[in-house]
Parts: sequence; C-alpha cells; structure tokens
Amino acid sequence: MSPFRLADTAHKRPALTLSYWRPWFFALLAALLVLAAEQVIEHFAKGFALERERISVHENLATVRARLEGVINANLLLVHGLTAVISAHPDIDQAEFSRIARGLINPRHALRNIAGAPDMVISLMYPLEGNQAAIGLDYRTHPVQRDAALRVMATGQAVVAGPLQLEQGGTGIVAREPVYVPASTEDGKPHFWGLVSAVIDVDVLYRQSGLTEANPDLHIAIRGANGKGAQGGTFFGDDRIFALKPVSQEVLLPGGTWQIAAIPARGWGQPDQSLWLIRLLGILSALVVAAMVYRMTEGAKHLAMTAARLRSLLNTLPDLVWMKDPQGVYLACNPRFEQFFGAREEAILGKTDHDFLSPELVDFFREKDLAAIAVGGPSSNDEWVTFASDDHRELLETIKTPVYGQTGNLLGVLGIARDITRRHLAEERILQLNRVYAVLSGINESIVRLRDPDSLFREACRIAVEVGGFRMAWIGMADPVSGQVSPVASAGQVDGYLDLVHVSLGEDEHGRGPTGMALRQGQHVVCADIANDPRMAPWREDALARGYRSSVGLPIRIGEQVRGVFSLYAGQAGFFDAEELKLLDELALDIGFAMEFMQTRTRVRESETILDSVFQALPDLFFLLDSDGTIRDYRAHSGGDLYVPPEDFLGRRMQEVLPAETATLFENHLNHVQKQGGLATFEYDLPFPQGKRHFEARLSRLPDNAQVIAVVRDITGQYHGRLALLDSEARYRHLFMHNPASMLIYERGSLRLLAVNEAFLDHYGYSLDEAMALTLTDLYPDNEKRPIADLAARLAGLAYAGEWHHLKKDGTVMAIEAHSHDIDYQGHDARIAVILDITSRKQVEIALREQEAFFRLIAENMGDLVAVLDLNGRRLYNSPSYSALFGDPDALKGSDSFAEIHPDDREQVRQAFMHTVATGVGQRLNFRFVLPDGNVREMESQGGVIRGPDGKVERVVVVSRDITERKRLEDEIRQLNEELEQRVLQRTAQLEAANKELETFTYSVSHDLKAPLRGIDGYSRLLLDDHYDRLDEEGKLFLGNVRHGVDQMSQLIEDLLAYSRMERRDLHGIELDLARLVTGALAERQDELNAKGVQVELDLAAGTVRADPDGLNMVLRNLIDNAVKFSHASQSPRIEIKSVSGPESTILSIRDNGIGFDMRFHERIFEIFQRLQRAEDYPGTGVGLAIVRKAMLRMGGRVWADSTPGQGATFYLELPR
Amino acid sequence: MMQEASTRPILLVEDNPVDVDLTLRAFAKRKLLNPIQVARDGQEALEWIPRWEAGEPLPMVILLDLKLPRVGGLEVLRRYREHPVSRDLPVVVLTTSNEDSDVEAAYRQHANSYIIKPVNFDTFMDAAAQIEQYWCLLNHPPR
Repeated sequence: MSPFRLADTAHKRPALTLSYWRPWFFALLAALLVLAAEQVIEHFAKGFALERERISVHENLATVRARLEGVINANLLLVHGLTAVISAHPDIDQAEFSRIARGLINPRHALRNIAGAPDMVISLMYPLEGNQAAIGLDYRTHPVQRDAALRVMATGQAVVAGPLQLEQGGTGIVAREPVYVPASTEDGKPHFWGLVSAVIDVDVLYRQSGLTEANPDLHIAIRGANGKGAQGGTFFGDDRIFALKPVSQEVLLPGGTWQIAAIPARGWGQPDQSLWLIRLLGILSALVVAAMVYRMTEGAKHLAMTAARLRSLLNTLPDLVWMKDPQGVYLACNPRFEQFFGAREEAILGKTDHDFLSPELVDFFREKDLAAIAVGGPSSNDEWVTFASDDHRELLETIKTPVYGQTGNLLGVLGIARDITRRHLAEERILQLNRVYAVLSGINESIVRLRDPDSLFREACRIAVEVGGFRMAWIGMADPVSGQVSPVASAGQVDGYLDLVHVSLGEDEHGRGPTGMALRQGQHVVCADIANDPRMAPWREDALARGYRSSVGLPIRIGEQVRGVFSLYAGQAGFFDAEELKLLDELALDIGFAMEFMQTRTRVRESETILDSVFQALPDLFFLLDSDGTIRDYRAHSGGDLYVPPEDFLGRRMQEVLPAETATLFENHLNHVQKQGGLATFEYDLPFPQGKRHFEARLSRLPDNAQVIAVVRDITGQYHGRLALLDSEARYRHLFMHNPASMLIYERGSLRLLAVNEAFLDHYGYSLDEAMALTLTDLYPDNEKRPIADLAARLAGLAYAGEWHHLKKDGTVMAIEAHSHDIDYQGHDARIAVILDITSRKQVEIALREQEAFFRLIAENMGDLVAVLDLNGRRLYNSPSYSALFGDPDALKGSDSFAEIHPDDREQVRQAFMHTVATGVGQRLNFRFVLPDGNVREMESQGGVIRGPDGKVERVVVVSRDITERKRLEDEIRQLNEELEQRVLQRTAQLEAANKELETFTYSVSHDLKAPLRGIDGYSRLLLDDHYDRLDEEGKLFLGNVRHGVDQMSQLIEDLLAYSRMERRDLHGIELDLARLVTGALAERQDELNAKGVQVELDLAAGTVRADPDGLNMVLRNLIDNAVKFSHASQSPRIEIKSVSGPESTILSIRDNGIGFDMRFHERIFEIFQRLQRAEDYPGTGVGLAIVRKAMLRMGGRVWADSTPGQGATFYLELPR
Repeated sequence: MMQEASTRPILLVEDNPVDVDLTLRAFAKRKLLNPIQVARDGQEALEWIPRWEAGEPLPMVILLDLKLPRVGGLEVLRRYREHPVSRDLPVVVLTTSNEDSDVEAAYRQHANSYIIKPVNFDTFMDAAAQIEQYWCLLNHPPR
C-alpha cells in the first residue's frame, strides 16, 4: 500500500461519532442564528410597518377629526351667532327667531333645528314644523336633557350632547349654549337668559366630516357620547375597534371630547410583501449559511481527521519516511526513521546525514538524492543498512522523490524506505524451492519419457544435481543377497564416495545413516548437519571431504515395499527444510510409482506378445468394440482379408462400416450382451468382391468395462454346404409332400410307416399322427394283408407292386395301383411308394361295359336301323332291323353303305358323312334307298360318331328310319291344305265383295232415303207455315203426325248410317283424354240437360285411353242420350259418370236413375233394332246401343250393362290405354 | 267487275227438284235478296263457266250438291277450280253425305265449305240464312 493514499479514507463510511454530528450541529446553529436574525429583522420590519400604518391611519384620522371638529364648530358658530343675536335682543320673538334661524338652517348645514329656551324653557323654535312638540320643553325637568342643560347653565359653557335619538326622529347632537344678556349696568354681571339649543344632524355631520365615505381602508369608531370622551359610549362605528389597538384622537367639543379611533380595515399588522420577502431571504440565508457552515465544519473536521490520520499513518508506518531539503537537511521524519538514526525527530531535524552516518553511506545517500532530483520523479534502490537503535540489519528498498511547491520550486526530497529483508529471504527461499520443483518436474518428466528403470535412476540423479543444485545424488537398491544397498545410479560430486561407503540393511552402525534408516523406516531421514550428526559417523570424514554438509535419504517404494533409497547431499548444512522435504517425498513416491509402472508395463508387454502370437495362430478375427459400437481394436491373422482396411474401421462405429442390416444385427446383440452379459452368437454375411461370405460372430462383454469383444469366423464354406443340403432336403420334402398322388414311406421289415404326404392324408382320411402309427398292412383288407407283406419283403429297386385294394380310415375300399422304390429315410432302410387310386377307373370300365351291353340291347331290339360304319362308309355292324330292307344284316358287313342310296341323294349323303367324320357332329338328313326289288324307301337318318380312346373319330353311327309311309301321308295333307286355302281365299273375297256391296247399299240407301224425307219435311213445314190458317185442327194434327214420322225416319236413317260407318270406317286408335271427351259430350247437351233438370255427377280419373275420337264420341253421345232419355221419367233425373283407370284399360261407367231393364235382356239390347220399350214411351231407333257395341268392338274395347228394373241402369265401357 | 253484293247471284247446283224448290223457298223465307240461279246437273253447272267468261255476273257463292247426274259434284268442283274465272269462287258443298271420303275429296278439290243438308226444314231454313249472311253479306268476295 502506498503511503500517499489518504484520500481513500474519505470515501469510507464514517463512524457515527460525535465528530460526525458536529458539522450538522454547527450548520444547524448557524441556520438558527440566521433565522433568529431574520426574525429580529422581521420584527423590526413589522414594527416599522406597523408604525407606518399607524401613522397613516393617524393622518387619516386626524383629517377626519379635524373635519368633524370643523363641522361641529362651524355649526356651533352659527348657533353662537344666534346666541349673540339673542343676547342682543333678549326679547326676540318666534318670528324674529325664525327669521334669523332660517338663515342658519339650510340643508348645507347640519343644523336641523334651533331652539331657544329662555329660562330653560323652549319657547322659540325653528323650524316649527315637526318640532312643535319641543315647544314648552322644560330643561330643568326633562329627565334626559336635564343634566346636560343644567351643566350648561352652571358652567356657562356650551355643551354638546349626544348623539341621541331626537324626538323628531333621527339622530343628532345637541349643542346647548347659554345665552347671556349683557349687564345693563357697567359692573353688573351678565344676565342668564336661557339656552339656545341646536340640533345638529349627525348624519349630515358625519357626511360632511367625511366619516361615512372616508377611507374605505379605515374602520372608524367614535365614543364619548355627551362629551365623555373615552368613558362615553360608542355612537359611531364598532365599539370593538377600541379594543383593537386603534389610533385614537380626541375630538374637542364644547363641554367635552369625543374619542375617535380608527384601525385599518384589514386589521393591524397585515403582512405586506416586503415582510414575505424578508422571510424568504431569511430562510434562504439561513440555508445558505447553514450549508456553508456545514461545509466549513465538515471541511475543518476532514482536515483535522486527515491531519490526524496522516500523523498516525506516518507514525505507524513500518516504512521509514523522511524529508530533506535540497541541501540535505532533514525537514521531517517519522518514528521508524528515528529508529534508524537512533535519535528523536527533534534531534534529526535541521541536521544532515553527516551527523549520523558513515561517510560512505552519506555519499551513497547523497548520490541517490541527487539522482532523484535529477530525474524529477521517484527513483528507487536497495541497500543494506544497520539500525542505530538496536544494531540490526535490514535490507531497505528506498524510494526517493523530489517535492515541488506551488510555484514549482524544489522544496526538498521525500524519501520512503521499506524493509524488504524478509522479502529478500523469501525470494531466496522461493528460488530454492523452485529448484526443488524443477528437480521434481524434471524427474517426473523423465519418468514419463523413460522406459527403463536404469535410465530413470540416472536421469533422476543428474537432474537433482544439475537442476536442484545438490552436491551429489545417488540411488541405491536394496540387495538382500549382499545385505547392502547397492548404488545403481549417481551424479554430482561423487569422487568415489560410493565405493567407500557401505550402507547396510541391518541395524548396525552402517545401517543407521540416513540412507539405511530411510530404507528400513520407509520415511525420509534428514541429516541436517553432517559435521555434527552422530549417525553419520562412519562416513563423516569422507562426506565432509567432498563438501557434503547435509543430506537426506528418500525411500523408493515399489509396490508396498521399500526397495531403494534416493540420497541427496547439499553443500550447506540445514539445507533441507520441511517444504523441501515434502517435495522430495513426493519425488521419491513418483520414482517408486515409475518403477512399479515400468515393471507392470514390461509384464504387460510380454503378455501382449504372447497374445499376439495366439491371435496370429487363430483363423478368427477379433474386434474390440465400445458400447456404442465403435471399433477400438482388432486382431486378425495376416493371411485373411478384411471387409474394409483397418484404417477405415478403427475408431469408427460398426454402423458406419458394415451394411445396415448387419450393423443393426451387431448392434442388437451388442446391446443385449452389454445389458445381460453372457455370450451372443449370430451369423451374418457380407458382400465381398469375390462373392458373399458368411460369418459367425460371438460377442462377449469384457468383465470390467463396457467394452465388448467380438470373435468373427469365416464360415462361408460350411454355410454354403449347409444351405445346399437344406435346399435339396427342402426340395425333396416339397416333392414328397405336395405330390398329388398319395405317397408313403415305409420301413423295410417292420413295414412301419415313416412318412406320408398330404395327398395320402387327404385321400385316406387319416391325421398325420394316426398315419404315423400305421403299418403298411393296416391299409389292406384282410384278404390282401398276407400277400402284400410277402411282396413287400421281396421288392427291391423300382418296382410295380400291382393292383391292390386299400382301406380308407372310414373303411371305404378303393382299388389302388402302387409303384415303389428304395430310399434311405432319416437313417432307415425304407421304401417310398406312390399309390394311385384306380377305383374310378375301374368303375368307368365297368360302366362302359354295361353301357355297351345296354346299347347292344337297344340296337338289337328297336325298329330303327342302326348301322355302324367305318371312316370309309363301310358297314361294320347293322342292326337286325336291316333285315326288313336288305335281308340278313350280317351279310351286309363290310359292304359300302352308300351303294343302296338313290343316285340323286348319294352325293349329299356322302358329303354329310364326310362332314360328320371331320367334325364329329352327326347330321340329320333324308335320303332314299333303292331296294333290290326296285322299291324306293324314304329314309330319315341321324348321324353320330364313336370316338376312340384318343378322342379321334373312329366310327360313324347312323340311325335311320323308314319314313316312306309317313311321307305319303304328309303329301296328302299338304294337298288338302292347299285346296282349303284356295277355298278360304275365295270365300273371303266373296265375303269382302259382299261386305262392300252392303256398305255401298247401306250408304246409298240412307242417303237416297233422306232425299224424299227432306221433301216431306220441307213441304209439310211450308204447309204449316204458309197455309196455317187454311188448316183446321185435324189438318194441323195430321201434318204434325206427318212431321213426326219424318223426324223418326230421319233419326233412324242417321243411326243406320252411323252404324254402317262404324262397320266400314277405319278406326284410328289414338290417345284421348277421356275426361275431356265426356265433358265435351255433356257440354253439347247442356241445354237439354238443363231443360230436363238432369243432375250430372262426374268422377273422372285422369288419364288417356286409346280409341278413335269420332267413334268414342259417338259411343259417349249414345250412352249419355240413353241415360238422359231413360232417366227423364224420374223426379230428379241423375246421371253419374265415373271412370277408373287400371294398368291395362280404363273403365267408364254411366249410370242413370231411370227405368232400368231386366238383365235377361242384356244381350238383346245391344242388337240392332231390338227395343225393349215402346216407342211412344221412350223414343229411339233401337240402333244406338248396337252402334255402341259395334264401335267398342272395333276399337278393341267392350261394353256391357248392369241394371235392376226400376233402379236405373249402368253402362260400362272398357277402353284400352 | 265490282257489282253490288245484293245483285250478284247465288248459283245452286242441285238435281232433285224437291230440294231445289225447298232451297228456294228457304232462302225466300229468310228474305234473301240475291237472285238464285239453278243448275240441274253437273253439265249445266259447267256451262256457266263460259258464260262467266263472257261477262255474266259471278255468283257470290255456289251451293254445290255432290250427287249429280251426268257430271258429279266433285268433278264440277274440280273443273271450276281449273278455270281461272271460277277458280276463286266460293263453293259451299251442300250435300246429304257425311262420309269422310266425300268430305275429304271436296276439300281436296278446294271447296270452301261443306254443309250437310238437314232433313228438318226449320233447320234448313236457319242454315240457308246463315249461308246467305256469311257468304253474301259478311264475306268479301274475291272479285
């Protein structure tokens, strides 16, 4: 710490001592003083202000008072005037009085009234008005005014009384003046006439004196009613004013005084601004002063503190501090310095070094001082000095620095010296230790570097001497054989010491030196002073001769035992201290460890070499893997090739080196082994340039760590072999198992079933287990067991076992055919057999035979001719029926079947034959045989083929039938048919012609009939019209009948025409809206319906019908007409028309509530001209319904009716949709 | 040749004397103004063509029966329609037949109208009136 760092202390938090409070205290004091001063000033200022205020008020008040007095006196003078007059004229009368008074009283003056009271009784008054009451007032008796009046009389002075309430109203003061009449004689006394009393209006008074409007800033009060001054009552203003320290003056009045007082309106002592300014200044000053004082005090305190600190610092400083002037005279020094010189400061100051020190030292110091001055700044040096106080020596580090004054002049040289002795020593020490450290690190480094103990020992000794500075160092190892410690290495000043010295292992004299002791005790042994240590006796001379002054023996432990000693010799006594020894102990330990390590390493290397040889011998690959699959190391015999070269996989993870799947496999097993230990074995393959190689890997975790060893063997060869074997086995197995034929393997001799395939199980119905329990003979029926057993024993090689029978599990017998062969099955001498189920084949054979027999039976016995021909048409077989045509059928064998065919048919038949042969499809054809007797027979034949086993057509079968007779009959029928058709055509033509005729006839008749009818109707009508008056009733009647007949005839003709048209016309069936037609038909007759009052109800379904429009209209018209006609007799004729639509047709019904008919006549009513009613009752031609039926028939519909006599009739129409 | 509608005739082609008479009477009853010319058969009907060509007044309307001796009504109609002078003349077929074939044939030959002769005289008189009203009064003749 530099001695010049005083300022630091100021920043530290000061202790809360009294001194701490002092500045505050003084500051506060100062502030208070200032404030007090301010208060004083304030006080004076206030006083001053107050004074000023009072003066102001006083002036104002004076003004007011003067005016008040003035006014009063003025008025009094007026009265006095009057008094003078009266005194001159004592006999003045009212009128006179009034006259004079008038002059006095005017509104300007305050005088209200004047009264004269001769003899104390008011008899004169002006103004009289309003004051009459005062006349006659006796002052002597008036209770209120008596005193005042009497006083006037008594004193002969005017008296002002009041203010008082006037009888006349208002307030006034009364001035009473005595009137004296001068004495008539010269010496006589004036005669008291009486009083003159004048009332002065106070209000006017006040106003005139300026009291009322006076100063708004003043509150004025007047007291002293009746001239009593301060004792009198307050009659103007607020009484309280008097208590508020007013400015007061006296108003002189005749007979007394009033006291008039005033205070400022605001009150006394209102602070004006200046006061506030003062206050402010005061406060500010106080603060400023306080602050200043604080600072000053604080500063002073600090200064004092600083000075004190400085002093104490200097005093306690262990350093020497002094100051010399430029000439070297001491200006100041501290106690420590005093010690140096051995004198007190007072004694030193003013003297120079010359007075205390040796000349050399003085020169030395002076030199240094001058140097410092020359430099102009601090300079330092070290010197050993002797302290005069107690003669001890110290090494001082001295700093000298020149000190300059304010003006830059050199004040002197400041010197500060520090004792660095200890430091020096410490440095020395450090150096020493460093050396030891160096030795230690050097030797440690050697340990690391060197491989063998000997070089280590040598190095250790060398370093100890060269780096450590020891005089000599040697290492000796215990040699149990010689019982001594044999030196193995040494360095430094040996000079044959080791040859002389014999350190024994035992307890004897030679074994008790530091070396021996260290060896035996296993701890370092120091001999601090060889010269004097008894233990060194045997070797002392020799040691000292070589300059060894102290030594230490350090035990070298290898393993648990101390095997050797590292001995160090130093050139000084007491060289080894605790610190050093600690380090040296470590050194020894390190050496020991090194030894151990080296030994271990050697052992390891040896075993490694052995291991390497082993690895080399083995064909396997060894890998060392980390837990994460990193390949740390490998061993492989030099012959093998690796998947990737070592540099590519060492240090890399398996996952990076191996293909993904293999790596994953490794990883899984690795993880497994790491977690659960044990051995993991698995196989994998890797692609190599030459082909895929197969490996077996074994993983095992190393016992102590997480690493795993992998042993990999190339098993490609074996693998392939294995695969091939498995493959062929599988194939055979497959063949066996999946063969569609039943197969079994039985053991020769025991006939036990060793294996069966699926087909067997399936076919025989056994389960595998059941089958495996069988023997061969179990499969055979009882009668075959023996023979098969015999056969089986004899079979060898490939053999056909023949046709036998086997039993299924359920007992079913099947015919089988077996083939078998020798086989070595899983070590058994066995035979493998293929079993063919020939049951169906056998059955087929049987069926075929039966069929053949059956066919033969048929062929023999039927009437038809069956011939079997070869592919050339030669007869191979003819049925017996051939005898009917050609005689003996057997004779026909081999003959050409075409020979007898009619020449015209032959070619066709041959073609057909060829076709049949080619296609295998038989044909049906007809041909003629020409029999030997010339007869021709018609034949109908059907061909067929017989195919051989190969499917090819082998034979042609022809089955023929003699159809000659049939043909003849057919011809006859045909002929007849033709004739019949002819006749029918003829007949039809006839009918058509007839029809046509009928049509034309009907048509022309109808039309021709109409012509005369027209004439009849026309003329009869004209008759009625033109000759009406010439006709009598009978004539009119006749004509009427005639016309009626014409009508009927006309209608009949129309109907007939319609009927005929129904017959003839083409009816075009189109889709018609039935409802619309019905409503249309009804509309046509609307007038008639209304006229007859016929109710029509409709319930018509929507939809269309297929019909001829005109035809249907005709039908509807007729039916509606009928309905109307036949219902008209009933009270409320009603027609209901309904239609119902079905999927195929629509049914329309028209019902009336008329007379109805008996269902007996249902058919008749539809016949033409058939009428059931009399014409006169129900008009009609009898054709209508015939028309309807005809029309419906022709439109593909139908009509029918339903009725009950008396309950109306319903006619139904069915129309197609 | 624009002639007064009331003076132009109506040509009646009818063979049956009764029908002629009745027709005339019917028109008379209804106060027909137009004169009525009569042709008693088809031939006579055709002989009117040259007369029209010669300048005789054209009828307002021709009432044509189909059942005519010598030349049938349809033939007359056909011939009328061939001649320019009679081609546009309104022809009302007035006949008893209501056969579809007749109707068809008539219209094919460009008859203007087809009326079936009613037996009832009253009805006939009404028809006559209507014919006159329509063809002689209401209808604007071609020329």
